[in-house]
Parts: sequence; C-alpha cells; structure tokens
Amino acid sequence: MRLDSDGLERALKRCRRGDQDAWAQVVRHFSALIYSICRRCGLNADDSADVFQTVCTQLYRNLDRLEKAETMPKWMAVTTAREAVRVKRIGDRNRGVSFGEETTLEEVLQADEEGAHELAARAELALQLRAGLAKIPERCQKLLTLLYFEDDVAYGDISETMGMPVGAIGPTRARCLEKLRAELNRSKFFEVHVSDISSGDSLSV
Amino acid sequence: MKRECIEYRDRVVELAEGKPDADARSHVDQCPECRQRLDQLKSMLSVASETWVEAPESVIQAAISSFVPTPQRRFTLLSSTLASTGARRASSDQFQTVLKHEGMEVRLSYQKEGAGWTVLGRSNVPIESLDAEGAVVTGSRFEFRVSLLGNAAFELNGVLVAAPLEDSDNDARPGA
Repeated sequence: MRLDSDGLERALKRCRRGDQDAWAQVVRHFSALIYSICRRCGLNADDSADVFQTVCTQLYRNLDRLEKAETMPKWMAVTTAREAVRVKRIGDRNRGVSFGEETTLEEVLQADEEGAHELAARAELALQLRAGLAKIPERCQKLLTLLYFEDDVAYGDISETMGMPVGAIGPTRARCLEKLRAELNRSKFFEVHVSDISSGDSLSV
Repeated sequence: MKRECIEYRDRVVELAEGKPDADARSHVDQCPECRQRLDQLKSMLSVASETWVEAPESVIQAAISSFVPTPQRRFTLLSSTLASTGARRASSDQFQTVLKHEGMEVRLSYQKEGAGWTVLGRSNVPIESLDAEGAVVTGSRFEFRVSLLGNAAFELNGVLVAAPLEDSDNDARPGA
C-alpha cells in the first residue's frame, strides 16, 4: 500500500491518536522495505519475521518522535538494517562463523555499522524508485516493471502482456524511462549517488 | 534536447543496460547532457535490480494486530476567538482558546510578540505538572514562549494540549 508524503504524515498523526487502521497503513507502507532489507542481509524467513516485529515495536514506541514523514524512510531503513545485521551476527556466531582471531570487537562493530548503513541507503533508494514508478502512467509502470523489476521476462512475453509489437518495446521503454527519470529528478533521487553508497560512503542518520 | 542527442536517445538506454556501442559511447563522452542522462539511467537500473520482497501477509498481520496504539489523553477544544469571530487570517496576532479534558479546563491566550509567541494559560485545577520548555508557573497560571505557533504543544497534568496549527480538529488556525 503506497502512501505519499502527505498521506504518511496524516497516517502518523492518526496513529498517535490511536487509530489502528492508520497503524496498519503505516506498517503496510514500509513492509517491503523492512522485509527486503532482512532478506538482502541474508536472514531466513523466521529471523526476518522477528526483525519485522522488532522494527514495528520500535516504530510504535517512537510514534511521538517521528513527526516528519520525509525522515521516516531513512529512520525505518536504518533501524531495520541495524537490527538485521545484529541478528545476522548472532546467527553467524551461533554457527561458528567468525571474523578471524585478529579482528577486534571494535572493528566488528564498525563493519556492522557500515554494512547496516549501506543496506539502509540502498533500500531507501529502492523505496524512492518505486514511489517514483507509481507516479508515471500505468502503462509505463507495467512495461518498466516487466523489463527491469522482474527477473528475465522474455520480450515475446512482454509483447503479449502489453499488447505491443516487439519492435515497439525498445522505443517505448526509452520514453517511459525518461518519464521515470524526470519524476526521480523531482524527488531528488539522484542527489544520493548509488556509486557513493556502494563504495562505503554511508549516509548519516 | 539537441537533434543529435535525440538520435542517440534509445542507444543511451542500451548503454545503460550494458550493451556495447562504441559510437554511442563516443557521443556520450563528448556530450555532458547525455553523460548525465547515462549516469542517471545506470543508477535507476542498478537500484531497480535491488532485492525487493513483500513481507508475507502473516508477518504483516502479526505486526498490525500486536500493537493497538493507545489514544493519547488530550484536551479538546471548547471554543476559540478565531472560530467565533471568523478571524482566520494570516495576520492574526492574538487569539484565545478554551480547552477541556474531563474535569480540567484550561484557558489559553496566544500573543505574537516579536519573532515568537507568548502563551499565557490558566487552569481550573492545581497544576501538578507542566511539560512546556521554559514555562513559568504561578499558582494556577503559567506562561511560556515559543518561536513558532506549531511548537506550542505541551502537556498539562499529563494531558496533551495540541499546538493550534498542528491540530486538524482545532479551529484555532491563524492563517488557515
């Protein structure tokens, strides 16, 4: 369930007043973000479900502090990533996986924090990309989803699903990408460079 | 977009997808606009390939049903000079409100002074606690200052008094 920034702010306000429907809206809005971070961190389904619950508990406890909708995705992503990395570390330790004898605890914690920040930043971008996708025309959303957001869908299948000749897919997808790019420029998506995140230039919270 | 760039439009997308095209590459290297477009397209496609998994419905439902947000105790608005006079305008620099919660009643006066607002209050019951920064309490009266009206939320005896601009149920909205 997608909420825009205003909708999220209204939902948070209603949550603080005890509206459970609003609470459900907020949980659903961030459900894919939370779960994707867990899975990307390598957690199994049980651990992912535990992290999901923990993050929602923290969200619930911090409802009064989270007033600005625009800060929410980062807060959710960082909170989830830290918890996911912590659970992963415990799981690794229980399985006997270690960093090596010469690695200090401080280095382990620093690596965890850097890993959490990178996970969070990429997930936040993924959320922003999908929010941008939701704002372009439906036919473009459908085409770009088939081409880039789903695994290896053949052009023949895309042609059939879209009711579009195979030869038209290329030029149409270029126009749709341009619409998405314009939308993302409006939402300042490109101000955080993916390459910076990948190289460990983590975001501050 | 320049005519030459239009000719390369589809091929820049293919470059972003990783297809080799020396001619398009050469154009991009000489054209800052297409270079930026290529970089942005690459960023988009890189993020699009990120793992994105919706949580199972059972996990979502567990999180929804485990936590029933408890309504916060708060005063409700009984009257406002802004609402009664219809003087809802941006230039309003003084107004009064009366709010109630169970047996408690609080009368508030908001006065614009300089760059901020002074909030003067009077309660009909003894003030046991007042959570407002810099508040001065004298008997059943209190006073504090805020830079913005939106920051004027406070708690009196553990019950929230919303800031006039924040409360959508509250008609005391100067400038609304």
